[in-house]
Amino acid sequence: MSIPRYAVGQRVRIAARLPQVHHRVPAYAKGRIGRVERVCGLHGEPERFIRGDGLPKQRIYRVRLQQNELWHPYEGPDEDVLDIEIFEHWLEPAE
Amino acid sequence: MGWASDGALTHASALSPRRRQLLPALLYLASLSDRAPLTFMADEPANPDHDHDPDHAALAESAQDAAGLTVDSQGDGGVPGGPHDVGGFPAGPVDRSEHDTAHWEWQIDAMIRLALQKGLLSDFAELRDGIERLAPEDYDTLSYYERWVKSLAWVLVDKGVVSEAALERRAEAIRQRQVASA
Repeated sequence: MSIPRYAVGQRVRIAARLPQVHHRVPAYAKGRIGRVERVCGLHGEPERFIRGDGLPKQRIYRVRLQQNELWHPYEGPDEDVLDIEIFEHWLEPAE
Repeated sequence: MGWASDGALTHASALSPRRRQLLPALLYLASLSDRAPLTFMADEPANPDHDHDPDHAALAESAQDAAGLTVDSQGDGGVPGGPHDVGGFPAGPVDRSEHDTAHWEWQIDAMIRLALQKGLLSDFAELRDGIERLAPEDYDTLSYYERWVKSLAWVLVDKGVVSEAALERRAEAIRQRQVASA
C-alpha cells in the first residue's frame, strides 16, 4: 500500500462504479481519463470503513482532467484543467 | 437502485448487518418532523433560506448522458450517486450572501467535534455517508447543519451511544416547552 502504483504523468482512467456508500468520486469524473498530476499521501478509505472493515489507509493521487473533455460544450480555453484527488483503488491504467 | 422517496431504504441494502438491524430506528429518526427533525438539539427554528432545488430526475438523466454510463440493476457502474452528486449540473445562481451562524448550529458543530475527539466518530466520512443517504427531498429541504445533525443522530444511535427512545423523550420535552411558550 505504501508503494504508489501510479507515477506522475501516467494516464489513468477513473473507474465507473457506484458503490452505495460514501466514496468521494463525483459522477462527472467517473469513466474519465486523465494524467497523474502528483502522488499525494495516504488517507482512510471511506467505502470499506463504512462497511465496517476499519479505516484502511489508501494512496491518493491528484488526477488532472481536461475541462473540454468533461463538459460539452466547454467554452473556456482548451488548456483549462480540473484537478481532482482520487483514491488509488478508483484508478485503472489507461493507454 | 433508486433515489426516489425510498432512497433511504434502498441504500440501506448496503449497510452492515449490525446497522441493518437498526434500520427501524434510523427510519424512525428520519421520520421525525419535517423542518426540525432533531429539535432536542435546539430551541431555535432552522434557517428557512433554502433555494437549492435541482430537479434530480433530470439531473440523473443528464449525468448519465454526460458520462456515457448506464445504471445497471446491481447498482454499480452508474451515475449519479445521489442527490448530493450534482457537480457540473445546472442549479441556478450561487447565493453569495453572508449569513450568521445560529447558536444551535454552533452547538451541532461543537457536538461533532467532541464526538470526533472522544472517538465516538472515527472520521467525517461516517457523517458524510449518512448525509448521502438522506432522501432527496430531505437533502434539498434540510439546511446544512440539519443534515449534519440528522446524520450524527443516526451514527450515535447505531453505536449505542444514545438510544432512540432517549432522543424522542428529549425532543418531546422540547416540543412541549415550545408549545407552552408559544
